Amino acid sequence: MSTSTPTTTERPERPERPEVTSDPRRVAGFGGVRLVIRRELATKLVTGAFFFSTFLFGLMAFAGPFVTGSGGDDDLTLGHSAATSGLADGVAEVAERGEGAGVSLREVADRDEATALLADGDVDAVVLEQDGALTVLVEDDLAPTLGTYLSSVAGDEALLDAATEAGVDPSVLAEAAAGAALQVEQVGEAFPIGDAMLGLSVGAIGLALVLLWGIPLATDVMQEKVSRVVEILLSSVRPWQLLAGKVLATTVIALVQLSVVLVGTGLAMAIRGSLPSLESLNWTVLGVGVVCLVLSIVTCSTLMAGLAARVERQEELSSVLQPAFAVVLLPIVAAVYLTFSFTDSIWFDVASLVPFFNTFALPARLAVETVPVWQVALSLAVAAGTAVAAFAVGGRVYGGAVLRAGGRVSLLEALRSR
Amino acid sequence: MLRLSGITKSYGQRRVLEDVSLEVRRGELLGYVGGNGAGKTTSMRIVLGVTEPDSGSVTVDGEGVTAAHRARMGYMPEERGLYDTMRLHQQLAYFAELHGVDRRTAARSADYWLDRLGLHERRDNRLEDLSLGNQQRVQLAAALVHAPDVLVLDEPFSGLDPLAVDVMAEVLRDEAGRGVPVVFSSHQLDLVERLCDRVCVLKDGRVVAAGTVAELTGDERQQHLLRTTAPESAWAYLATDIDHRTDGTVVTLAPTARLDDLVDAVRAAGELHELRPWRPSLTDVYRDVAAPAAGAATPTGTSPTGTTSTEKEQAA
Repeated sequence: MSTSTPTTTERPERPERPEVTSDPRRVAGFGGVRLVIRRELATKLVTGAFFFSTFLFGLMAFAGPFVTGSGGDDDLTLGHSAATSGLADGVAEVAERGEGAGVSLREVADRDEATALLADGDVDAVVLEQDGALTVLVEDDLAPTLGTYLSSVAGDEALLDAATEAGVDPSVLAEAAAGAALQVEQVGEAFPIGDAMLGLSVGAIGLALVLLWGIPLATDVMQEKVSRVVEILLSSVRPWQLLAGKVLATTVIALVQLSVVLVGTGLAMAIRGSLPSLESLNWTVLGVGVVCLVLSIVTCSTLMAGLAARVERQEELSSVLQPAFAVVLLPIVAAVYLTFSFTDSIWFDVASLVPFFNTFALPARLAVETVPVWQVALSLAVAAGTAVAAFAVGGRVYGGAVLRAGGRVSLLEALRSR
Repeated sequence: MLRLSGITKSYGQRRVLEDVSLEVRRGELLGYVGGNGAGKTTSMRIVLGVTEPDSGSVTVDGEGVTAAHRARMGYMPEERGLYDTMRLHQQLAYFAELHGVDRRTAARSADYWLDRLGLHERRDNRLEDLSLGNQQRVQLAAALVHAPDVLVLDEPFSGLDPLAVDVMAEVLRDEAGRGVPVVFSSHQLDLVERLCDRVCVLKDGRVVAAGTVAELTGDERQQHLLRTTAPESAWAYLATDIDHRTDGTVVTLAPTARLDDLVDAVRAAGELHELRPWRPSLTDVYRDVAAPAAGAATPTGTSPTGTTSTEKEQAA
């Protein structure tokens, strides 16, 4: 170890030693946790690196709706010439009667203008009359919906023309067509795909946040162990206080970043006019989802922090974190599978109640079916209990391993150690 | 007064501490010496409550150590432990607050120690920007920033340059001067000998010697270094122990013999080159009691709690 004398400038007088008194009650219980949280936030949240990365995430979230073109502007635009305006009007009328995307119209002067508009993406297709035949110009492919509408309307017009030429009254044809209208009756339950995606997105966000912030937390725990700063910390606070402070601070940091991303996305959707109305949101799914999200972050982060205390080298970290990865990856895969393929099965109900799986499955299940209130309450209670149990086990492993130097500490040894 | 009584600790099948007892009085500097793996760090961690003993107790002024006592202890671990990217003042204030000091006082105390240790101009630097020597000063400040009532330092002098050693020694003396029991471990035995009031030697988890430096080095024993041409047979009857060294012969006079008798006997048989009082250094004592073959060595000094003891007594 090299040493050097400090860079100092002699001062005429040394400040008087302050009278220092300490009150252990300040660091007892949550007081110690609060101090740890404050340090974690001061060194991780209030930093240029965090501001920069969060700003980037927010920017990406804001740009997302513009770049992907998602949102409410799903209408198709059909270009037409003066000669095909009747056909285009018919397409717009059919589209308006349907439940799918609407069709807006734009008249073009000639083929050149049509080509230019297609190249710019201003229209999805242009219908022209060339040499007495109808021609549809597209940039790449004809949108299936538009193709169906065009074929249908063009066919109707041809039939009408032929019937008129044959002396049939057009109103008789219209009456016959109206009588042939299909009545659609739904006998099954509609699958609310939007709500299902909302429910599953809770799990997906949880997974992303755990990976994004759980791994740095685990690395931080390992570095505190390697640098031995943990010895000083544990001489004044208990292991559980240190662990709780770190996990809660990580949860806060993750949620702050998530909030920025959501605000960015919401802002972009508002600008595009595609922000969903408050009435259309499934508030039950959202509310339960937020609780499940927080509990899953706390549970997984606690396990990751506890397990990370077993090792001193970065290359060993990922292998000891496997159990923590498993309790977040397996449930999200199961939740997706059950939501879409086994919606009505008992397994979906079970998954929404058992530890680790429930925080991912419950929001999705709530989104696609009615869940009895007692099951929701039971599931949340199980999730809270799981977080407490994870804290007890993770804290035990943490306390038993974090002071043990010299290679990886086995799980059994860490659990047994005092 | 800090007292460890009958501390025993094992990690798995490995016994790390065996019935360790020692005492550090208020205002006293205790040097805690022993080879690598002797159990010094573990016993210090037990004092701080970082590790729990399997049996035995730690008391401060006769009371079992509680969280309140620990809040008033200062600890400097062997392997330096601070946050690399935290700024010095922020870091020291944080450690003070962790010991229950209010926020404002913690900030003022952090300023004081940065100034006292010559780091006031670096108060807003990150720790990683400092040299290792200066980082060690910060480590010492972290142990002192809450004005502890007990100070436990594991290898505080390790790796320091001579000037930094002087600063560290001055600070430790000052702390002892205000009535704080100070215990520190070190492999620099000359420093321990110079600085400490008492010394405790640990070997394989057992206390094998303890006492004042004078007691351990045998000041009371009538030992002299003799250089002469006279044959040993001419004066050996006056000695109870004769030890040949490279710089002369160490003679332990028999209780009934006088120094004048030795001088006369030597001069009668040869030429007297040198005769002066001699006592072993702490390093010599340490080698005697802590060397692998020292199991049968003559133990020296008093018990950890101040009474005369022998190694056999300790082992028993």
